[in-house]
Amino acid sequence: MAPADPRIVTRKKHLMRIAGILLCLGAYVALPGPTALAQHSKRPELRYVGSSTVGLFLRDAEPVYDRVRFVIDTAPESAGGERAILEASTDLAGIARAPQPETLRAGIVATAIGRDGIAVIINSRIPVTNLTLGELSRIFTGQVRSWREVGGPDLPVRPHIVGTDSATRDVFRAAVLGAAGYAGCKTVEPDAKMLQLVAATDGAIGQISFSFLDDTEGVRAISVDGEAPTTTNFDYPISRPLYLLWREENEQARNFARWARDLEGQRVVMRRFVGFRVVGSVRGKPTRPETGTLLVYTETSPVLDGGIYYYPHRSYEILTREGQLIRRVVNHRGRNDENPTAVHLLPGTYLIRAESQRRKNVEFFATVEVGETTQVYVEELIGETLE
Amino acid sequence: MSNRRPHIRQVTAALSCFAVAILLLAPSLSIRADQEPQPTSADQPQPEPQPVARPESALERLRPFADFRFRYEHDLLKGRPDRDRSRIRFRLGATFGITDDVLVGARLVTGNREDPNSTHQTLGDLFRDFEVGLDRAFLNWRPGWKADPRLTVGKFAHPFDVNPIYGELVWDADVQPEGLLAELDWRDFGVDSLTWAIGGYFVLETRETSDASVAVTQPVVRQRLSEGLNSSWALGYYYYSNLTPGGETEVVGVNRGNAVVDLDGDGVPDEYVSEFGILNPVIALTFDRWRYPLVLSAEYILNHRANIDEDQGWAIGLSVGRPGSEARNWLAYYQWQVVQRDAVFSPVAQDDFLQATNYRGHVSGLRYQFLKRVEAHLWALVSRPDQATGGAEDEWRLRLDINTRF
Repeated sequence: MAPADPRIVTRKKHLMRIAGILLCLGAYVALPGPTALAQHSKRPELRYVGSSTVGLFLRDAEPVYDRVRFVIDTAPESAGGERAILEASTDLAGIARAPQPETLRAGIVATAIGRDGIAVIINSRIPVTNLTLGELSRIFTGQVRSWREVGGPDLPVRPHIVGTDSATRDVFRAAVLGAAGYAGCKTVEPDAKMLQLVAATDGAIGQISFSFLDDTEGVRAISVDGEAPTTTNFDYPISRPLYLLWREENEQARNFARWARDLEGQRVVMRRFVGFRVVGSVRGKPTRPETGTLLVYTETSPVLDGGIYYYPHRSYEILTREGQLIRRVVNHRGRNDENPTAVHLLPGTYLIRAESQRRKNVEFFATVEVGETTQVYVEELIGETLE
Repeated sequence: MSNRRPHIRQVTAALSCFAVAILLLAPSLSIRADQEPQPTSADQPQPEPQPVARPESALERLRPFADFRFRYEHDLLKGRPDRDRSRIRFRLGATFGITDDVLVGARLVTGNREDPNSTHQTLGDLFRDFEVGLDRAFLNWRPGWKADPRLTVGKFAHPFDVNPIYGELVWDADVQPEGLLAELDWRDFGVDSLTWAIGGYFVLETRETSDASVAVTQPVVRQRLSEGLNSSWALGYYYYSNLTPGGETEVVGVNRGNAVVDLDGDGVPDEYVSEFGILNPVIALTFDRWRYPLVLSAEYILNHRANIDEDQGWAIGLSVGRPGSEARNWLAYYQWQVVQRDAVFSPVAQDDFLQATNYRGHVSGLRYQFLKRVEAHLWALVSRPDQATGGAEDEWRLRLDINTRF
């Protein structure tokens, strides 16, 4: 065996040294520094046990909420989380359903942080964009054999349902099937596999939490009863509440639960879920095609005009969901005008920041829908929703 | 000609500078409806809605308003017969938004058109028809920028913050000035809000001589002091110029209590003794944690250009309750005040007390909203001259107002 060329060996050593230096440099840049690690480890620990869905919110919140270090255990799911908070073996629990009455009677505080929608997904080769709850019920009870029966092509329907351990299964049944049971469905475990299976199977239909929706090719979420599966649609019919459970005396847990209901927390919630602080629209007279109308009844500010009080509404701001100012609305035309200003907007969800004498500012999200008027009474929000 | 209307020119120049400053700042202040906000986050699953610059319909832009008052008034006078009378007042106005930023407004009112301090019509004049006047006609530009600048020109309501208990000692609420006004709000100065108004009002325009005018300004700071306790701190200033332009005595002719001098001995006053530069700080504290909010106010008046010693005024007051935005709301109030002879400019000062100036007295009342838009207001004003040659005795004025707005 001929000895290696010393020039080649030297060049290899040289390249390895450079690669080593670059690796070290990359690690130095990419990994958190000792100060950051020290700061992270100094934060008080907040133990979480419960729903994996709520756990996703905690993982999203971790980089934003820097007052604690989360220790997350989602294996016990909702039931285990509720038990753990009752036994005081955790600081915080998460459940993807309403809390049991005995939990509340035991003095546990439940904070609703949003709603998790269960999206109906189909193989994207099926050109169906909407199904009614009745059609879904017939599909998942085995009464519909072909997509043609619900406005699609002549393809066999292949319904898929998540496993019995998943809360999604119960929520979907309660919302879609009522008292009936699943029939003719293929079971998929765990939930996360649903996307790949529906994408790979002709004529497949399934369901999955909004929080698991991603850009998987070959699968598409459809509307149900005309309601789009979006994190800003409070009227989407297949959904469940998400709660944080905590004990009143646990200050760290209380602070986090309040943060989750506050604007910053709700922005994190709305990455995957329907935010709690979204004010929906009400049916009103048709306004203009393609736009909706926003009427915000902000607090009034009395103006004494020649001995008679008038009550013009205070001004407010319309912002994007990320908080970028779109427009300031004076909300009255002259000091004697007591009617709020109608603002015509494209459909969507807007952040509203309203002046309030009692609370300085009140912030909430408002959804504007085509042809409808969203009316918001800020004083009612202060009293009933945001407290 | 170069000396004509110097004060109006100064006021106009100041306002022009103010307007230019606003326009120069416009690029940094303005965030308009027709600008598309740039997305700032990629992690949002939904595309951001874009704002629509669609105007309201013409009907939505028209905002009419009206109010009606019936007043029964009884004066208990010393050395003169008591007097009682019934009066009414009707005001009908509207604003119209020409664009989102530009507003025009006007208001028709009953009452003697020669008397800017009152729009009331006394009942009992041989069934003659009432006089009707236009007491507001203005153009307002409010572009909705961050600092909420407003420019108003025409005849409009004097928009200064006043004493919330009884706030007409310096400026009667019925007096609608004519001129220009600019206002700005800031919220980034370490306080909840800072509002600044500056303007110039034309008092008397004359054909051949310089004009009588008043320059006005008021900064107002609003600050929440603690949970439920709000405060406002206002400093008004009124600088009157050239009240006898070219020897014209028309402004002196509407004097209602200031010291005047008869220069030519014809028995008709020719000049005010004092000039007027009136400082008017007003502090109000509102505590609204209780079912019935409590308001405490204090006001001081100083005419630093007075040529007599009687150049000050002050008031302190208290109210409990809520004004009537809802049926069955009530508000009770009391205020004590002293206004010396040349502390205020009497032609524009209040006309509720029996004297416009040179008095000390009390005002107290109860407002009760018995329907959402109908209110009863029972009030009493008692006063006596502050400086009198003879003995000064209290005189009373009792009023019952039925107010409705619609």
